[in-house]
Amino acid sequence: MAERADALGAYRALPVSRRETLLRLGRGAGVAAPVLGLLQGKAAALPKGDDTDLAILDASVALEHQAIWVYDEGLRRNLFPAGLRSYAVEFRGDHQGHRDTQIAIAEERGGQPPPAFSSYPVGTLREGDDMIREALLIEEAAQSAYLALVSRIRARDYLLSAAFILVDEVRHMTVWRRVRGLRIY
Amino acid sequence: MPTSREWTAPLASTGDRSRRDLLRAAASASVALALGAPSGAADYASPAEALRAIDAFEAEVVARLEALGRSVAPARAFASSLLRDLERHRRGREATRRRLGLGIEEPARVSPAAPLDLRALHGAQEKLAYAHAEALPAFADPRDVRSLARHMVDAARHLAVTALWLDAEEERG
Repeated sequence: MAERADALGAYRALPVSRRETLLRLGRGAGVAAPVLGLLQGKAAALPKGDDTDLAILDASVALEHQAIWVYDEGLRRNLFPAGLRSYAVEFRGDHQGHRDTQIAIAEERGGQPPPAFSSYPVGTLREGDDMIREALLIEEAAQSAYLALVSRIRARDYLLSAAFILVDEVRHMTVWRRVRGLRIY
Repeated sequence: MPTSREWTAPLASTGDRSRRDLLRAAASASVALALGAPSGAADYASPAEALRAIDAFEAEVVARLEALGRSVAPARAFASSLLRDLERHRRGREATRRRLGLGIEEPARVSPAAPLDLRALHGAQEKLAYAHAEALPAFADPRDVRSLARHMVDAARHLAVTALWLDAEEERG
């Protein structure tokens, strides 16, 4: 419980830049400190190996839990604009697939991936634009995280899986950037 | 660019679904993945082989983007932007080859006049993005993996943009 309060406090205290947003979301999702260090660019902190693979799997599962919760929340509260709801449903399904895949990989290796929190810290969500902004934040964070972590993965099957997941995250991010009128090429 | 209120495009189309299906299987077939690499994924034996495959897939994308840029004036900026990215990737792969002591290879040859076909462009981009994913395990040095992964992110973004364009075309009928 105290850990959760710490995570929420850290989330709210951080200023917002791209990397800091990633860290904020990572902390909010419960990503462990060594992997947060890697996301901060301290790559030397995690040598390639089974332990690192498991730490990355745990972090990735935590981020996937968070992404699923954000889409669930938006869909439950009917915050996605009508023409975009199908994207949200599709992307939530992708994240559920990513979560399940990585949980299976972790368990195969004797790991115990983290469970989902009952809720996650998000910005103000009153209307469709807020929801799209939050979905984009989550997807950008996921893309940045997988990109930062992928080069530290040792096991071939997990590296391949993470790469395919990254392709998915880029697609999600590109769609939401397009919707928000941001540059996509 | 449309705002979210204007945006009514349907789900992103992915054209030829075969390799898309592979990705879906890879991301979703938990048990199969946990026990080994997804069946059907290329298993490159060496960095040289992986880079050669990327060269070949990229050459087709380049030919199709050049055809698009020549034929459709409004698409010129789009094609130019993507071609600049791909040229940067090609130089990056050359640097990787030099560092690994691999010979610099002649650019892959493709039909000089690739027909103008958005769906075929999408298919070629899909092959290129997944070839990058499949290439990553062939590299031992995290620097190489990181570099190729960045290229893969660009390739995946290009693929997504073309998918959105295809969707918009279909919307218009």
